[in-house]
Amino acid sequence: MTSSIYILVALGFALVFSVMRIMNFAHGAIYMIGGFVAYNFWVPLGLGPWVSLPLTMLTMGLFGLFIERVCFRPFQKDFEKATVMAVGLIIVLKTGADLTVGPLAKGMPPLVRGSIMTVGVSIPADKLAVLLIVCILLAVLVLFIQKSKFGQAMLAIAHDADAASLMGVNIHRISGLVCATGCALAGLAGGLVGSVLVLDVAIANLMLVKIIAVVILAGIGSIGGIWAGGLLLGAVDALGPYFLPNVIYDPFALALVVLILVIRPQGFFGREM
Amino acid sequence: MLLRTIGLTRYFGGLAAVSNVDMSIDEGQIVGLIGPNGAGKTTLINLISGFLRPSSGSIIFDGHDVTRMKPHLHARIGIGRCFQAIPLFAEFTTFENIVASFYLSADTSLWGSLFNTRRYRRKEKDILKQAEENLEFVGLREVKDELGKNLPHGHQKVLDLAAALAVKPKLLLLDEPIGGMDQDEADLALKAIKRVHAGGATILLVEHNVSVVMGLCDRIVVINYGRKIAEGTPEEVRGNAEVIRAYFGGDYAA
Amino acid sequence: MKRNRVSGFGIVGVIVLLSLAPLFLESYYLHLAILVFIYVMMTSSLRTIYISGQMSLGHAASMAIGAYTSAMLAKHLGWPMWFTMPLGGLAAMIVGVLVGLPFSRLRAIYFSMASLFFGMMVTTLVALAPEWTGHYAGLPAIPRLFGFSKVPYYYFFLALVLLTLLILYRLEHSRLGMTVKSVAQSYLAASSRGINERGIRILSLGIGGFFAGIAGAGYAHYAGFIAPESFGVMPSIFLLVYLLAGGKGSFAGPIVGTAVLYLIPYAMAGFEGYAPFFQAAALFAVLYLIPDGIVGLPRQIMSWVRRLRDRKKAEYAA
Repeated sequence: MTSSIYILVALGFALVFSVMRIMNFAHGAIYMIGGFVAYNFWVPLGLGPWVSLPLTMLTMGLFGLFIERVCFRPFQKDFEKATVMAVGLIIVLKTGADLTVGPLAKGMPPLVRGSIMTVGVSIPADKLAVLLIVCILLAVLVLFIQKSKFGQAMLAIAHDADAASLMGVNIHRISGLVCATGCALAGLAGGLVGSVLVLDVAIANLMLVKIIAVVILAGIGSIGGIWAGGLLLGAVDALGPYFLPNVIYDPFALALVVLILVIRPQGFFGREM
Repeated sequence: MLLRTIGLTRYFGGLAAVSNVDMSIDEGQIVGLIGPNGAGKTTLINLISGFLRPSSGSIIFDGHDVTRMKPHLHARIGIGRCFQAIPLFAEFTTFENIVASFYLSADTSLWGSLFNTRRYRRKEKDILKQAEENLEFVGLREVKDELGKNLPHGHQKVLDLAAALAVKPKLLLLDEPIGGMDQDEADLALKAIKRVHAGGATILLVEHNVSVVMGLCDRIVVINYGRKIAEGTPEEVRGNAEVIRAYFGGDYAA
Repeated sequence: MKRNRVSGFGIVGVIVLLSLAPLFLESYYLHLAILVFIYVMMTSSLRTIYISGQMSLGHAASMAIGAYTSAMLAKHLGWPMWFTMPLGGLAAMIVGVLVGLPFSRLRAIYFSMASLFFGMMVTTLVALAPEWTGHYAGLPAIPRLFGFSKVPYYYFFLALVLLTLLILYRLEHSRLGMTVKSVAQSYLAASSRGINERGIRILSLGIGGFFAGIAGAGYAHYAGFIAPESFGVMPSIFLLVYLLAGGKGSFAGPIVGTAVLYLIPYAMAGFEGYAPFFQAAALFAVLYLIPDGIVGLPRQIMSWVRRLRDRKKAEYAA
């Protein structure tokens, strides 16, 4: 399940990068905000999961449109400025969360209660439900990208933005939609995770680290590799602490990512930037 | 013999961009390197200046084996280089670009920098004087304080030349020195190149403009598909059937 | 290249003022000043790395290395602080160089990412030897430099930051500094002129790391307590924010940026929680309106005024 969440969020990040050529470092913060937004729809407003989650996606999607237009479009060609902008966003989002939510962690009731017995192992049903939802969503997304005009346009821009615009693709509109999608996915992930684990302001940075790690493993610029990267990272994350005492695991995992970055910046599937 | 390449080869994936090139250049010559697009000329230059490592073969410069040396060491030994794509220090002025290129003549020790030692000051004065001379030499005095990125293309190329001279090269590699210039700019550049040569430098230049090469160079090396297909004086090369075939295809033997 | 010509008299005047400050400032304000001095050292050393073309998102880690090295040596081994502090700086410098060896090969984004991860990694290292490092909760009871009064600390850090700035200034405006800046602009051109561009980048990381380490060690022996969260991702990011908002193009940029932005939370008694908004706002202002940073504000305002005047003139003529 962890893998699927990583894939979900990392995919949004990678898509934004492929199309807009911008590393949205604030993506982790967006994930966190999404979680809190979902929480607010779910609990205080009592809307329940099946309404809150789509609503969260909508909200975050609109937010994505906003930041594409206002925050990233002016700085598309300038990596440094875009990074600075993302940094600013992180500060704003985190502070906003700190102020409104406070230091206490929030959690949401699980989607589905109980557990399912399979093969002698008891799998909690809520995690299974999350996994299912994410898988379905990802499948839909993949189909959408491959079959629809938007999807084609996206891939075209990712490949060569100038050529795409010469062929009549409205880069700004597609960028906006991609950013919106990325944010919506991240927001959904936040909401889902909130139902299974707890939500905390701190998860923003943790998630950022994970998704960058996934992207590095997969390869900058490669969408297909995200699957592998996400799966790998999820597995490592789950199993790692069993093999290495926690204290060593943290720095070790980070060091490993750094190592990969140094040795092979393109990751396993990526192309040279 | 100032420069010698022996069996120089470089692969990119499965493709040999440069294949088994034997070449030699004597001191004081101007040698032209020509060939159709994609023949491997820039790759060869990259190899000689150290920006690419050969897959096999070796390069001997002034008695040293520079085959595996890093580019900045190539510069220190005396191989200067101008680029096709003109990497400049965009945020520096023209003058600063040249001064910065005098790195090898400068005192860049921490001690000297911090304490403004006599040695440091002396070298600084030297550099500033020489930079002024270089500036005059290539005729860029009017744009001395213009930012590198604001210079027109032709001036940038000439600036690249002036900067390359700062390393006091024995061998100067020029990659398309008059590419993209109009007639006036090209004349300026060619004059500068001739003066550099007169000053004692050996020159290897890559150029698409064949007539320029014919008029300027003592010897010409022709490359196609990574291989050397001809070598000799301009007249010899001009009449060479293989060369003509390489450029025009088919049989156009004069 | 724009050069900020602040008159020599101006600087001397400021230094004189600063030296006299303890006469008419209370202890609390001295404390703030000390913190500003320390962070100015951090931001300026970050700039040293920045001008070589590398945007580090993990600079606070160097501070951590200096702080923990000096603190642990002084506390657990009883070594004198005048000895451990330079050691802290040295440790941070060595780590900077070691890390720089592989990292200097990386291009812009990759370097930033790697530095981000590295910074994070350093903060997790405290868990490895908890008896020594105090684990995530922090290391308390670190020997302090002086006694109870803030005044000696004030002068100590004033002297330290002035010395740091002097050294960094001389380095940046020397031939070496120009070489570093040239590497940032075009590594191809630099290499072909004989500049070992990787070596220069590693050198910048080393120097930047050194001063960050010293700042960290100083901080440890002032506060008497250090914890990993002061040196994590967000602090590194804020250092970058101070640098960029103040003006990355000029030497005074980090100084101004730190002095202004760092104090914002303290100026908002009761509303400190909202402070980051203002800091971020300053950052956005710099991004959208005043690319040269706060230092460039006067010039930017002048150019606006001029543009307004020109437009008025054009309307008049038409």
